Amino acid sequence: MGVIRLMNCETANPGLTEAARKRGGLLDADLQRHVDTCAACAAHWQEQRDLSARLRILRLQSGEAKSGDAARSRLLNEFAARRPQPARGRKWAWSLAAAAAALIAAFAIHEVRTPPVPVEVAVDAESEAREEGFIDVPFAPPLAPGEMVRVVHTALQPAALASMGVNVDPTWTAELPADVLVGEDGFPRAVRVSNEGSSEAADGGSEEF
Amino acid sequence: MNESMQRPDEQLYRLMKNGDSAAFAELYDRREPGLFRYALHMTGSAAAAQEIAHDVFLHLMSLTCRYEEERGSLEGWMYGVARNLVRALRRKGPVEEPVDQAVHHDILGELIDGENVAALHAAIRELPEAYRDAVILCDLEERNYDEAARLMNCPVGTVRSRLHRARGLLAGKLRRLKPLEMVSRWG
Repeated sequence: MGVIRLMNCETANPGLTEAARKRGGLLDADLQRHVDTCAACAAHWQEQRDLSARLRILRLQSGEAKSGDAARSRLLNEFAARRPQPARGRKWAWSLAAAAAALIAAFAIHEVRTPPVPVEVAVDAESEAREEGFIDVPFAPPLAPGEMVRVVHTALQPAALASMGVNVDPTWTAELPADVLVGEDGFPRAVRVSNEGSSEAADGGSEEF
Repeated sequence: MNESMQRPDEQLYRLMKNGDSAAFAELYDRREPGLFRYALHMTGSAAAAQEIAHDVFLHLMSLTCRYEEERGSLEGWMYGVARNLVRALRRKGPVEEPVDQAVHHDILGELIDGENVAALHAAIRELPEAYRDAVILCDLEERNYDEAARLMNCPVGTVRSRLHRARGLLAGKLRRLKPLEMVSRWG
């Protein structure tokens, strides 16, 4: 024995609307029975079918509507012009990091290679000077820490050489070529009789240690 | 490309954010027509629709784009942006261009006269925004309730009730129009 469900307008309306939205718009038996007996719901059913037809036409009319190719090109160009470039950004960051690392490494190498106590250079220079035949000038002030010395090629009287501690042959009468180790203050620190000719001495050349 | 084989919008978004032009173009081609039609039906102006669809993608490519994948679909976000742009446009005043000049008239134009088209568009645009959304997404864009709910950011039941209410209002507005002769053909 079948069960007959009672349907009122309130429960029928949503079903009618949903049925009208579907192509074909067939009603199930309960809805059809209600529509057959209810003028208001029959009118609602007809209105909803009519509305669906209009909306369907509108949908078909606008179905292909979209912005044109020009708008598409404009936007893609805009994207190309302003697109983010994180890869380049990362390269920039890596470059910066590499530069910083190189700077630190260079500084560290420089620190290692740079003589930490400049006075030792002077000491070394004096040692080298001694090794090269220089004789310390008596009572000369000591070199200041880091003070540079230079060799001045000149010509000196035998008496001047003697006052600087050089053993002078009594037979020498003329000026002799000499190298004088001079500090930055201009005071001679060491001297040697040069083997080179006096012409070079006359040039007043000098070289720095 | 089969839709199931398509790369998800969110993947294309990530690629385009890394400067991938092809991903951006793919996303544009996939979503722009729907956004354009949505804006067209919401505003009634093809020029406004084009501008809105364009601006959605400008927002998307902007460095200040605030889309967060974990908070929802990209498509839903894009429709949200479009909806806000429509609101902003409507606050400025009515748009001037009638929508029936924006859509193509072809053989279907013989089935429904211009007055009916204009009246239907006008009736849709006069709907409250939430109802308008439901009609456009469900009946014009043929989205199912789940998709419409995602795009409208509301529960499915809300979409259904809004749509039924909107259709009731539309039917009431269109009563003065002559009935369509082809209803039986379509219905």
